Amino acid sequence: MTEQGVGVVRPLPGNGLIAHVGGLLLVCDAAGAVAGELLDAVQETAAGGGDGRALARRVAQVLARSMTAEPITCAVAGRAGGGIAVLVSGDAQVTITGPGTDVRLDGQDVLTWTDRLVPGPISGVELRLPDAGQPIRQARLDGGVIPGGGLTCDYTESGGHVAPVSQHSRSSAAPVASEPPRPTAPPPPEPVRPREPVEYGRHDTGPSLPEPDHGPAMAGPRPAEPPPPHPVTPQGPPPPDVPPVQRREFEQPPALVTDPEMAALGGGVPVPEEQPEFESYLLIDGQGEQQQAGTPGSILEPTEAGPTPEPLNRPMVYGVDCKNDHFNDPRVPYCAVCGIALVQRTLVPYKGERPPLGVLLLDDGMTLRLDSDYLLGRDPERAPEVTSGEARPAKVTSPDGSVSRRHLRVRLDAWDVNLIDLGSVNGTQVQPPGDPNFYDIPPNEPVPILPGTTVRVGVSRTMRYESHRKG
Amino acid sequence: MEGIADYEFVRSLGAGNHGEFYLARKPPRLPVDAEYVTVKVVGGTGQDAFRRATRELKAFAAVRSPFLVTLYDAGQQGGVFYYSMEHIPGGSLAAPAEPPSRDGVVRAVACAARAAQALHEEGIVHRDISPVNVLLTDGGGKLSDLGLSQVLMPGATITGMGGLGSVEFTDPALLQGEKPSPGCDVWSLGATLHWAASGHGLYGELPTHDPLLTLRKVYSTPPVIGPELEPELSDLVGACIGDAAKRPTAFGLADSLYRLSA
Repeated sequence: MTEQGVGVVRPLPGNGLIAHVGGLLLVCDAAGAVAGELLDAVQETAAGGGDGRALARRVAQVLARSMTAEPITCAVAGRAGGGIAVLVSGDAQVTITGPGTDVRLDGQDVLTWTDRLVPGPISGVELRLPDAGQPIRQARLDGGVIPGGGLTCDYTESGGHVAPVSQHSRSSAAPVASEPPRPTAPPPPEPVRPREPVEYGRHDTGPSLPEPDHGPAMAGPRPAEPPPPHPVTPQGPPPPDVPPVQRREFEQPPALVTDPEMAALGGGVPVPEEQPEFESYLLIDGQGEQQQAGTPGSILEPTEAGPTPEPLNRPMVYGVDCKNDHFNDPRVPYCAVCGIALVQRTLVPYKGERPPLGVLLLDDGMTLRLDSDYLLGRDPERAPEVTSGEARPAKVTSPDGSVSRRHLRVRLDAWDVNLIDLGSVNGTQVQPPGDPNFYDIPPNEPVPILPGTTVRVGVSRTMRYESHRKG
Repeated sequence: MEGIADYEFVRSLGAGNHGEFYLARKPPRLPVDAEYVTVKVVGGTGQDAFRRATRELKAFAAVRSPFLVTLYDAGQQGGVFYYSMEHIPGGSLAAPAEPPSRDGVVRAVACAARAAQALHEEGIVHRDISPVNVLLTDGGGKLSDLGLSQVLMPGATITGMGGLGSVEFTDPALLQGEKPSPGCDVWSLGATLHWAASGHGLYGELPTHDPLLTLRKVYSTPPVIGPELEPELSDLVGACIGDAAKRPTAFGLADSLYRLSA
């Protein structure tokens, strides 16, 4: 049986557009304004490993965006769990059959569109435009975008009959050849774009788990599959000996692989067992600290729900009070809080609690309060400065990987903010206020910075030291 | 995202200060009578942060107030932290299902102020009141979503995990490193009221595409109340964002708002 399988998809003749990508099915009006967007929705959902639900949601967004006077005629379907998710709009119709199930949905029955999640088991689904003809028994659409008036998908029939045959055989092209409106050259099989991560390389990994592209889904058996002819050139041209792809008014690359793995996995949906275990703690009153999985309920034991960990004691530093009792750096001429002049000669410094020295604003919006040392880096939690309690961790990452695990320490010394580059690979640069240039700072040496200084951490991350205490 | 733990997401409800909200189907294990719940996915956190955040939420959940959104559970899967809560179909002041009337706005902020008061009485500061977190109900509103940035990353007044939307609703004193206090929540309530009543923020247009510039502007510009605000609301907002020592309490604010909504 093909509980999670794609089933056998047969095109119905007609004048619309039909698509089958990894178990996700689309029928739409080829001349419709959003045919391209609908195809994108199918391709992208398949590429992202989404199931029928994900497809229906995406298509609903397309339809919602392009609310025209005339409803858009289209229908989509795809497996969701043991059942099937469908969406139908305009003049399209959907029929879902299964043991004890016979659901017919007509887009004309509603004002916008209808979607439905029909639980399993499902034996078949049919998507039709008004002009759709009867299925031709020999015709199949194992994957691709072709002209047609509708399609049927039989889930009881194993997709495996054809699937193991390589995509370079004729069989994958067969359904197209039988398509009445275009009896000309069948679209040739595209070069396999096997595991290319960005484009369509993922439409054979059904489960939407955050797996790497080389995850276990690829490790399955690949019966009778020859090595792909263009293994590493994702944008490579089609082989010269095949005729050019027949494309209609849409520019969708029909880069669809007829692949046994896809047949096995394409319609699959993430099932809970495949996901990592989760922990859950009920917060509902009177439910106690019940939990779903994981370790005993010790997590909530220190129940005094303490506020966030704060430094218990602010460090003591020498400073002076202004006339309004604001504690200040004894070196500055004006009060940092109220701006009043500090008449230095008359003030005697004393030791008091240091107020926060301002904030570090990072370019992603993170704001760090300077009342403690920080350790910035890709993996700050395990740094010795953090585990010893000297500094708080501040996770800073960059897509280019230019931030080191332990990159930079921000050290507060009395009234000064110092930066210490911890021998990071890409270094740290500072741009003092009013200076257009960035300067490298030497590793392992404290460098004081003034408010208004911009700091570049690695290659692409920046932050700024802000304080109302103008140094 | 398709879901987390046993929550199956229906659609995204938008980004909050440090995570994204999703509408999800209620899993059978949750002993509540609801078809849908709202799940907030906060992102990757360490185990310590998860513990602290869960504890914080537990304290929040223990506060009894009809004006606080009910929390259901908190958890993590694969290191990604989430928590779920009651789904309010009316949307938020920031993204209402239907645009609220002037009285609707005033009542919603009044309810949020009552919720803040309930938190303050338990010694909890919300820290993240903004139009995103004031949800609209038939009777007025509910306050949602405790600000967890402090908890998730100690010392951070704002984590970079979400949009910057709430910076302009944050008491500048908090941005400058002061400790969170009930007065900070009152400041945020005032800024939220101003935004919802006037349609713009206290700092005017913010260059939100550039977080550093946005923060810098908020940091360096004094907040200005829009002249189009009706005088009573203008005075109230002014009191909320004024001198911390003279700010009304959340209770006092709620009281004044109820009187103005009559």
